[in-house]
Amino acid sequence: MKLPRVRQNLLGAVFVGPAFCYIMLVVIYPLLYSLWASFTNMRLTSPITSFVGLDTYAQALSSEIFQESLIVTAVFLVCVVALEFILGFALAYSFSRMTRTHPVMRSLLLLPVMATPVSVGLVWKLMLNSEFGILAGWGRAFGASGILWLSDPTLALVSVVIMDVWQWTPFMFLILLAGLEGLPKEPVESAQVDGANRWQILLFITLPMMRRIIVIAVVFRLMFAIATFDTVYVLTKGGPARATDLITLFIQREGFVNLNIASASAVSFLVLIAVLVVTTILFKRDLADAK
Amino acid sequence: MQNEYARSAGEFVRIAANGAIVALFLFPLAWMIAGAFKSEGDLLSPDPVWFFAPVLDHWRFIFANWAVEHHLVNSAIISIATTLATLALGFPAAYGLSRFPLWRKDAILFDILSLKMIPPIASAVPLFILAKQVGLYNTHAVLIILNTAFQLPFTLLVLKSFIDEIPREIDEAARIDGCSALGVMWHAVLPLAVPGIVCCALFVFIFTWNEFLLANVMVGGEQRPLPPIVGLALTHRGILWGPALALGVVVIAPVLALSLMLSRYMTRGLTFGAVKG
Repeated sequence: MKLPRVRQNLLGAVFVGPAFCYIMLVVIYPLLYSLWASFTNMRLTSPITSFVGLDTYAQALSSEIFQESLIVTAVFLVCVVALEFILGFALAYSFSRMTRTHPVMRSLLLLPVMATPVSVGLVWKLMLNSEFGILAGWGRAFGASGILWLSDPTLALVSVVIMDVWQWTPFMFLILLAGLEGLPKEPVESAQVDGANRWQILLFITLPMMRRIIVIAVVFRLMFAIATFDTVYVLTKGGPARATDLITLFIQREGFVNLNIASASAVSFLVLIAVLVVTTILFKRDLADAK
Repeated sequence: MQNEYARSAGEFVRIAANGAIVALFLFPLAWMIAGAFKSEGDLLSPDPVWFFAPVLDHWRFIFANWAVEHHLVNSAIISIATTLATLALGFPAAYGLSRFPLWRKDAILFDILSLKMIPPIASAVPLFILAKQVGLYNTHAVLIILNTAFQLPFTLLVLKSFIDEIPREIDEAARIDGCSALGVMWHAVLPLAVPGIVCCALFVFIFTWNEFLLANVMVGGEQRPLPPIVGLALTHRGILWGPALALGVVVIAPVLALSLMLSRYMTRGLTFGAVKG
């Protein structure tokens, strides 16, 4: 009853084909167009476009605004991924120690992840407002009046991190909890018999067994965090004084405000290469393990 | 006896503590919903106002001045059409990936995942230029076409993980009964994949509904869905806080409702099938 292998391959191609062509046309073709644009000096403000080789990349890399944006992005990524992992793991561990699963609490906790980013940015902009925001109100109650959450450069970046941690910690929580619940019980039990304390069990048994799921959680979060745009666009628009100018906001401004298509494309490609290198190095092996 | 008492006390403390954390995470959403019903004075009071008489001023304002119902319909059209198109393209492809021995299949699966990892901003600029060239700029169609493309990798991976769990004997049986390859997919696999299809449909709908970046640059004026309108409220000569919050609630309400329906499949959806919760 088995069909010959060539015929099976062909049939598979028929099923996958339409989606494949669609992605090629709508995702890959524009990316190639943008790759071409990054080797030119294309601007929407000037009618003449000529080939300039790697000049646009050289200009972008040597631009101070780009370098500062990279630093802001790096600080943001390290802070949010580290904080979200630690808090998410602590919360998942705490949930896994409850005897029942409490599905209602879990689904409620997931609401920040799914919430519309523009609305998220909006409500944090309200809560962090230095005149009538609730955080300023609480600050005054504890004698710390006049904290300029969104107008002080350092605090603005802290604000962006706080908002992101609020939104994405539940994501880490959910994945890590699924990991904790899938672990076999025997190693922990035999360690208990051998007299290991709770911290030793966590560090030397639970965490090593969770390796694959931790890699998945961290890499997924890292990739999504690089794409962070909407929430920060609404909360700070990259300001004050570019203190929260993530690379995505930089690209958006270059492309749609300065209309410098070449520069926006070149920086997009640098980000794209970074993303693909990270996914390939960190992820390919662990994803293959899953199959 | 005492031990059991201590254990249930410990359990109670854990439920209370975790419940408090959940409440903390829900607070900003609750604060936004409450804010949309506060009077201007209560909303902009330096001290947080906890108890207030709800007013509908902001709601009247957004319907009277920003034609919210019109943009709500735009959002619904774009999200529903995207969901249908994504499933129509994605289901056969996911079935093909699950059942047929394709050339370099592991590499293809990894490439699909990589596609999903591309930050949308990286393709926004070329897409904007191309959309203008082909005359799709400022139409619903362009948002449907682009969102479908961006949601396809997700749909492929998640649907494949669902179809992988349907026993292959079902396919065999249908084939023996005389079904063609297409018939097997349609009559045997599709009915069993309904939970996966519902899961993907809800996720794609929510992601498309939430989408701001492309909606903000690809369409203007009458054609805009809701998220760019919220952005508009923010820059409109300072911020009209009350109406902005009311608008924020309008956008988020269907998302919150649908998310709660998804809870069973959250883990699988958010990791593209890599982790089965």
